[in-house]
Amino acid sequence: MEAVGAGEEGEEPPKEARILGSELVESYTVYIIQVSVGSHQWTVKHRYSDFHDLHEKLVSEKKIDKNLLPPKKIIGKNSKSLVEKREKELEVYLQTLLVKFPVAAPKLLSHFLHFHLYEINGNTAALAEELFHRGEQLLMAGEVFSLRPLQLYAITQQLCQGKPTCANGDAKTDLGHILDFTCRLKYLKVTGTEGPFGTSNIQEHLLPFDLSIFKSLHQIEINHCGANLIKGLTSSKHTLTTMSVRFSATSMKEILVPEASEFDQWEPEGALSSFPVTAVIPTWKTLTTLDMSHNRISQIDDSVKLIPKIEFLELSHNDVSLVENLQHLYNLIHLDLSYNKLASLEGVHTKLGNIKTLNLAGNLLERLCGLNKLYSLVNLDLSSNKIDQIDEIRNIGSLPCLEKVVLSNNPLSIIPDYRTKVLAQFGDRASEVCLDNISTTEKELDTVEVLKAIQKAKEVKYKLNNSDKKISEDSRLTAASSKSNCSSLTVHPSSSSLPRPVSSSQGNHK
Amino acid sequence: MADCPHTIGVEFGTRIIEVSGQKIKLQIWDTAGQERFRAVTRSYYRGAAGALMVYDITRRSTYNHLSSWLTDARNLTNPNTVIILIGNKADLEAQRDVTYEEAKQFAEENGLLFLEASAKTGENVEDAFLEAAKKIYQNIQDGSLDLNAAESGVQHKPSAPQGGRLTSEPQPQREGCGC
Ligand SMILES: Nc1nc2c(ncn2[C@@H]2O[C@H](COP(=O)(O)OP(=O)(O)OP(=O)(O)O)[C@@H](O)[C@H]2O)c(=O)[nH]1
Ligand SMILES: [Mg+2]
Repeated sequence: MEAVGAGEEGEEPPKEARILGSELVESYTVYIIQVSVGSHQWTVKHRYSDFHDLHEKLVSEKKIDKNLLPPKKIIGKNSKSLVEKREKELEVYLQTLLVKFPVAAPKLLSHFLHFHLYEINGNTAALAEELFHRGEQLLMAGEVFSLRPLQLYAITQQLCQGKPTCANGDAKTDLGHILDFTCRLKYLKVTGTEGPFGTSNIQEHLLPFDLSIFKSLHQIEINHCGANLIKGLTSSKHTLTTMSVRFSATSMKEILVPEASEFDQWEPEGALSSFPVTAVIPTWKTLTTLDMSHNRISQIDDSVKLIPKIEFLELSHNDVSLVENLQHLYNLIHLDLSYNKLASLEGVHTKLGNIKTLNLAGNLLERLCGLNKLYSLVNLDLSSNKIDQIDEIRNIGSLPCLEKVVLSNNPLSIIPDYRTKVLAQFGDRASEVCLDNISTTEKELDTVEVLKAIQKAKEVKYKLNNSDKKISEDSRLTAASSKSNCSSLTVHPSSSSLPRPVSSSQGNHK
Repeated sequence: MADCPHTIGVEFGTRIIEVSGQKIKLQIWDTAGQERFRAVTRSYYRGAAGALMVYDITRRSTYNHLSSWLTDARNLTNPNTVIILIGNKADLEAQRDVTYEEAKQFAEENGLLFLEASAKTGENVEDAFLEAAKKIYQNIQDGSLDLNAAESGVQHKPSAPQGGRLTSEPQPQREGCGC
């Protein structure tokens, strides 16, 4: 938490309400009120009768002077001169009320001026009251609870500025009701707005907030916030199983190791390190699903060492250009790297041991070498890439567990007989592979058989031609794993030489 | 507990206990004891139904500071707020620097309940909160605490357990603790 400036305590940012003008809505005059608290401002629209209602209640509940509000008029209500005069009077009225309640406006006024939406005290008071009434019920129901970044910002400010926990005198609005709830909440969603929030100038992704008030979170979803401004997420390290941070981050590190901003050298706990490190960071022991899609992440950095239990990793819609560091994720079975900047897959099998689902759609891939040893792969999406050679499919042709392949929207998908040509690359498994989510017809399978026969004949011919050069059967393995120029993989292993899996779930190579 | 960091600002917890067959939920605010947070933590006295003031029986300096903490507590709470004095680290008898009798007398002179406890062994910890809750409950029963007043720190919830609120005041630690 932030150190507290000595002068801040008790000092409230100045509150102001100004009438900017008025407009006619269905023959009623509506006054446009601009409210500002510190640097935040927003607009609220009210008719004279709304003012009147507010005033009556304030008079009876808060002993406000009865004559403070300019009186009702029957005739010429919308006349220009009256409206202009009223604008001034109503502004004075609101200003007087704000001076009267400098710290926390009573609920009536708070709602009238939308403090419950935009201002710190009003915001937490409204939330506290809601939770006082419904908190237990909500926790029992075990549903996802949504909070705005602005609400979390307000709670954080209240706590670190040492504001009274119940400023407006109504015990139902005590901050304790919020903390009592947040301590126990399991499922949280924090969603900001892309632009300014509501009628205000408040940019929620620029608001800092502290999540250490949550002690029992199992799932968290964060959207449209500033990841670098979020604190205290690590207090949920031992309970979180699913985390989603979208439209918020520029790196994985800033979410997974915020400590890295203080210590440039760190190691995950339990790691055997040969050199001295400045910090040992506990891992996210229970986290199995991480969704960091739709961010501006350019690198899968070494902070993934801290999420060893991850099974599902979503990184779609980022700027990743290299598959790296994933060898630390022994349990990874589902990886989504669609819509990134991947141009090469070289050596990915050394990073992805047990992967079953791999989504690489929307990248810059031309070549598929690198996929040829992902033996556990069941689902593969390669749509919307730059694959233009049918031959490239050979790289995945021998994967023993592969069941679904998507290749649509690649240059090769417009080649005549594209489907059968691709399917032929799967040899004996052609009938078990579903291409582009369309089941293969009998007719297609017949064509595939013909294509396979032709191919085999070609291979035999090729072997005969090359027998002088003593290329042994086994050299195909060296060819497949040789790093350089792997697209010229010339000798295709006949697929019948590979053991066929009994069921797809067998693909668990350790 | 071995190397717990200083509390920064305030920490929060709740506990449901039973007094005379009534379920009472305690909202517990653990405020920072370090001097630099004093301005912040002062705001938590208001609206507290009770306060636990904790010193360290092995460090006399923490005991010596009690009167200044008590002044704050008295000034910022309402006259009915129950204040309990706790001598903590009762497990470290050999290092005792403040006698039970001395502290007991201080408590009596100032109208405080008094207990010695150990956060390490758990001895008397539950009791401390229970004593506070009992006393608060008693104050409600005999009418000296008005439930309707906002600053009473107690709220009645017909369906759910009653919400009560205690402010736990850790020992003053100017020179910082040895953790
Ligand atoms: N032996 C023993 N040690 C204790 C006991 N209670 C606390 N400690 C130790 O005393 C040190 C300080 O305890 P804290 O609970 O952090 O003290 P605090 O009053 O909350 O300090 P602030 O958060 O700065 O206000 C820690 O190292 C604890 O492990 C106890 O009952 N017995
Ligand atoms: Mg503490």
